Amino acid sequence: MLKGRTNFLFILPTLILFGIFTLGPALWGFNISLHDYKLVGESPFIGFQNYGRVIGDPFFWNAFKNTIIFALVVIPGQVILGLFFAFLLTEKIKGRGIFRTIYFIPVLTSWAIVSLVWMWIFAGTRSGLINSVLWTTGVIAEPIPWLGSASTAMLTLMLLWIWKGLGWSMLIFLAAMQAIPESIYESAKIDGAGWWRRFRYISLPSIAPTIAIVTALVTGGALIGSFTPFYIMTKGGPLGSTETIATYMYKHGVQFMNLGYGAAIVYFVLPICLLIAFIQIRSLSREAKF
Amino acid sequence: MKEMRGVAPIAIAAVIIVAVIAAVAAYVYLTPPVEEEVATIKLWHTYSPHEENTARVLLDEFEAENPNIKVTLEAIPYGEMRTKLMTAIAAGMAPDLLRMDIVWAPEYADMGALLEISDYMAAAGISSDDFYSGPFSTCVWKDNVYGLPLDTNTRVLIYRTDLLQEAGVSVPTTWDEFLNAAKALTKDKDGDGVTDQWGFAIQDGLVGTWQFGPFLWQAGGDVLNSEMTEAIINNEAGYNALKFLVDLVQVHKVAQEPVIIGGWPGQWGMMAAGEVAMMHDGPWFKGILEGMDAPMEDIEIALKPKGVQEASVVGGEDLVIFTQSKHPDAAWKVMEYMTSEEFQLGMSEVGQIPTLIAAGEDPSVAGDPFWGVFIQQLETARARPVHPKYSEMDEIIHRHLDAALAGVEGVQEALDAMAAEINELL
Repeated sequence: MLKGRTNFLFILPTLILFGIFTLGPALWGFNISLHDYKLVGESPFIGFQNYGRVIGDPFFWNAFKNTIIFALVVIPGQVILGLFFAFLLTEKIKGRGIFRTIYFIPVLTSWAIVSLVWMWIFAGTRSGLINSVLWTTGVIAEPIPWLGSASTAMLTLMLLWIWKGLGWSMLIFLAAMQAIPESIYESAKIDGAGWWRRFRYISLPSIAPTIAIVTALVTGGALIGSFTPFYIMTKGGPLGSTETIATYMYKHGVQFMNLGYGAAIVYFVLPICLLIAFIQIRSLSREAKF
Repeated sequence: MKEMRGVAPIAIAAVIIVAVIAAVAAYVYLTPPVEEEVATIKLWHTYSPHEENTARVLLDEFEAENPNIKVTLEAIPYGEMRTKLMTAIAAGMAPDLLRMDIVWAPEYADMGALLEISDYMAAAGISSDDFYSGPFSTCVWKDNVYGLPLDTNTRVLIYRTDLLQEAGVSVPTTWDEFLNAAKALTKDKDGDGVTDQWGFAIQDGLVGTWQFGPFLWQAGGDVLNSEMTEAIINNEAGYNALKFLVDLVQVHKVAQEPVIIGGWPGQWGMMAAGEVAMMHDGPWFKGILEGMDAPMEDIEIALKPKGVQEASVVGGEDLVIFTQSKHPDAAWKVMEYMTSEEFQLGMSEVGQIPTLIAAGEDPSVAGDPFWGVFIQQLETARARPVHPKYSEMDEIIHRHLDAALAGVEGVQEALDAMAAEINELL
């Protein structure tokens, strides 16, 4: 290992860049949240007034509720399904490489393109891809407004989010699982352990720290990053059912130019996200033991 | 890892840091300050590449006549313009000129970011009467003029001639005719109890006033009073307008809720597939439908049906000068040229509708069977509220419009809620 001081010198350039381009703007954002911020001219300091407005804003709490529900579905979805597919693809099955590639393609595709394609697929009119398939096969009598109804729009977006993010968590889990020595699996097989036991007692405990990190990152993504497909596909509608913290913050910060209020929304949610991430990492991460 | 000892790692790190700092310093201090004899005017726009090429050719002519002014065009996607512009203004690096969505102008004017141009106009002998009143009104905030309308557009009625013929209806010119036509055009073709063809489509989108405004004005109403001190959207005219629109969906069932149609492929996809017979849109619908292989020979346009009065909504762009510009005089010269008949007629060849009446009345525009309809509709087209808080107002209108069309809120209830929330902003 390197000595502390030497280590520090090596990461210093990165730290400087991180400070200038990430930490600095983030702190400046907090400063903005304390002002009635204007792009031109004086911005009056108003203390925590913006935060008071956040607490009393029913639209914010609607967005907050939607975001939490969204996160509660997509986080387990992405982690559990990611684990499942990663485990399947460590087994020696035919065309393993092709499957790995297929599951990873959505991750590489841009959100904007994916969103537009899903709008075609889930169009609420009869000519929408899914509707026309369901209708011609007689499953439905009337077209389902997938993105146009308050009861199905969020479900559709959850499905999209899990589908697009699945390949990413799968890949990380796959990499972690491949670090487990093959001999352990082989001796387990000789001892008569089936796939579930191999998964439960070998794979899972070995990659627990990876699961913790992936869960924390996926949580951050769902809580703060749930923006692009929402903004492109539903813009928070219908009837506010897909408004998330991120889309609501964007509306105020960029569309309405209430910069101080937009910043306050972010800094109101930030401690909650940090707390969740902290709990997750503490409770999930254990040293891998063989 | 093998332990590294001594000064080697420290030296490597130090060299990297010093190199980075030196490079930045060299860039900042060693770039020689250019003595400018030629004023370079930076113009940000949202033209398509095709439109930009035409603008470039026209501006080359301007540069040839004005050798001391150089115009650089920078294309920015509409979706990124707002964030990019806000960042630039905050950094004191706004462009000299910007081709700006008309609904943004009062917001940036109120902020103090835009240059007041009345004196320039007076000196050049340019009058507000030279322009169509709808587009020009978008440049005015508190009796000051902050830009000139560069190009404009409006929404007209678009219909499928084959479907109208099949149903035996003529092109509607009034609300009553429109409703009757929509009823005749709404059909359950295979008798399964589900509508296969709709009379009218209300396109989904964030733009509440863009959809609802024309109906509101046709009924004789408006969003705000003329002093812009109070919302009047919930008066009797407002009620008639929203009732008419909601009844199309809820009572007569000749149109779907906009959220069902969705943003994309939306009304265009339906019209291309013959699932809807009539819709409202601006001139860009043509390119979209062509891209969807729609039967273009069956698609025609007409003026919007009239309510108490004729009306449509003004779209398009204003040209504005930023107060941060270092060459306001040169920027004005460019602006004067771009709002001249020469430039406007040149751009009309690539589908930019002139804002200058003299250019709009030119036979090449007014006499065109397609553009002529838009020019005619422009005479009754009105601007959405020219107010710095327009974006927020529009969101309010959009939200309650959706709720009313879904039947979640009653017509008067939705309008009263809009008025109350808008009044809070004023």
